[in-house]
Amino acid sequence: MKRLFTLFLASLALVPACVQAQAPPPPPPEALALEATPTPSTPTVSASEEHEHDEALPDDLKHASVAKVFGLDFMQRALIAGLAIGLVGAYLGVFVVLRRVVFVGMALAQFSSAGVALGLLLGLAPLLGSIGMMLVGVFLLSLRWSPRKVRQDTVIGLGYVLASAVTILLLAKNPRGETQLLDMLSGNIITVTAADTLLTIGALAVVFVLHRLFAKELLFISFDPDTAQAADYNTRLWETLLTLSIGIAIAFSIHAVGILLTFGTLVIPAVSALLLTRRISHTFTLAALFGAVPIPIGLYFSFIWDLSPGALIVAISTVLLVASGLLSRLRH
Amino acid sequence: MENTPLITFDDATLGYGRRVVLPSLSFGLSEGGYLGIVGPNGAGKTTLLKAILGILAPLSGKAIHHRKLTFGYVPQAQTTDDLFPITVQEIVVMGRYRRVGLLKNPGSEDRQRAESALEQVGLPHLSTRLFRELSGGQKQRVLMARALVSEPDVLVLDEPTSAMDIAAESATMELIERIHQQSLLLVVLVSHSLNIVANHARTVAILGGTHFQIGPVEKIVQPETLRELFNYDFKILEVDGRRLVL
Repeated sequence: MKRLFTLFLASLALVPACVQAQAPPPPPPEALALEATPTPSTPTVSASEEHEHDEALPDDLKHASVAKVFGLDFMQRALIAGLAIGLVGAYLGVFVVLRRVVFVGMALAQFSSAGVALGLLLGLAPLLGSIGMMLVGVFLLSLRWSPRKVRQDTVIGLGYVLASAVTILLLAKNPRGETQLLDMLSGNIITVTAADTLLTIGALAVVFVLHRLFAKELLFISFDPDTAQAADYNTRLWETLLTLSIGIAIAFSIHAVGILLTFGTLVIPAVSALLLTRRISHTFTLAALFGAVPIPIGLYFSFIWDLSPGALIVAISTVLLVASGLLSRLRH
Repeated sequence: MENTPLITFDDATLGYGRRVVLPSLSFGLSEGGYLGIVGPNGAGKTTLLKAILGILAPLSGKAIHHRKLTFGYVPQAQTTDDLFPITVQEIVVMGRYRRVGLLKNPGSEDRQRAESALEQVGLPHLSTRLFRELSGGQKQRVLMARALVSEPDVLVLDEPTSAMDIAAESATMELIERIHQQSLLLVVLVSHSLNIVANHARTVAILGGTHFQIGPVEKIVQPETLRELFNYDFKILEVDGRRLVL
């Protein structure tokens, strides 16, 4: 009961966050007309422009139909990228939650951020820096220290602190870097470009196919690594593959939609599915479903209510989590 | 009953990095054997087990597997993670993964073998139950079924009766005895209880600090040998054909 109460409080805490987090760049009113005028492939609305649009949000925007909203190019891209991240992120999240390595995700995200900062400083594509540093993170987290002296959770904490320090130091040398990095990390799903959508889908598809091909091995080494090792599995290699796949998904997802939505999809749907399922295969399926369902709902209502889509999607996921918790409680 | 040699330790020193845990071990294990490894926590039981499994290479000397061996490893039931929603059958089928191979999924034959293994350990009715909902004794039997379904050459059991009540402990040890008698399996049993090992194993390895002694139970479980190893006067009674070390 205490756990449910905590979940409920968490969901309440998210509501003001998504109300305060000001709107996605509302599309230009003319885009709603869905006429021959094409929507710009990359919305480039600045924060100040957003505010101006908030003031002048036309009435027809507030009552737009689902078909009308998702008829817009940028909303279609947001929907496709969001569904890919929701489905695959939630699937991977089952491993993250079951293996109790949520903090590994945080550490890898921090490495990715350091990579973005490095990319901005050197004038490289931030995604390249992000992936490069994520790989460094996977390597460092895969190192096995003497377990009696340095526990694995300590190594993860060290990695997180190191990556944070590197990010701050890199930003100190780049006057515009902080704003750029913050924009990139806080992210906005509806500003995702066509190229980033394709890249994200490609990367997540590769990760998902790998997971389906090696599903039984990844499950075995996650559930009982000692027995897997005795059965001649190279558990260290498999664990590195698992961490790497999660790192790739995190790096691409953060680049496309920011940290909040990436972690929202990685953790919350998996917990909801675990509360309701009694078969591991059902857990993966339901988690993917819980990861996908809030995407179109959150996108649509964030559009017509003028809210931050990422925060609203996370809030909807949390409502599903609370409902799953209550249902699970009732069943027992 | 013992015949083909499977594993030989030839002056093998075991440890980690520069830290020696067990120096200069020399002994052999054969098909049909039953080795009990006994010793207090920290004496090196897990280290020896890892070396037998081939996971830990000796610092010096040799640990030889005479052929490619399949190990059926049975961990302590309480080390498994109850967060995983996995059914009994799904766990037992894991024992088939190595034989199924990469990029393939277990088929109906594998599930059939899993059912047979569950019957062998006396739990045919539990295959659809969630593993985490079972008692400690039932979990241990399921893990034994998983080890058996892998068609092992060596059955390795790590503290199979820890945290069990006396009835579950007896039933588990009888089951291991039955499995051993029905097959040519080499059984390696790790326990902190000398009484369990003295009454079930054929060969016993005693680890105690810097001491290591291995030999037939009748020779090692004697007051003089135990006094030499532990510097303590043990009494060994025989009650109804069973040894009682006090």
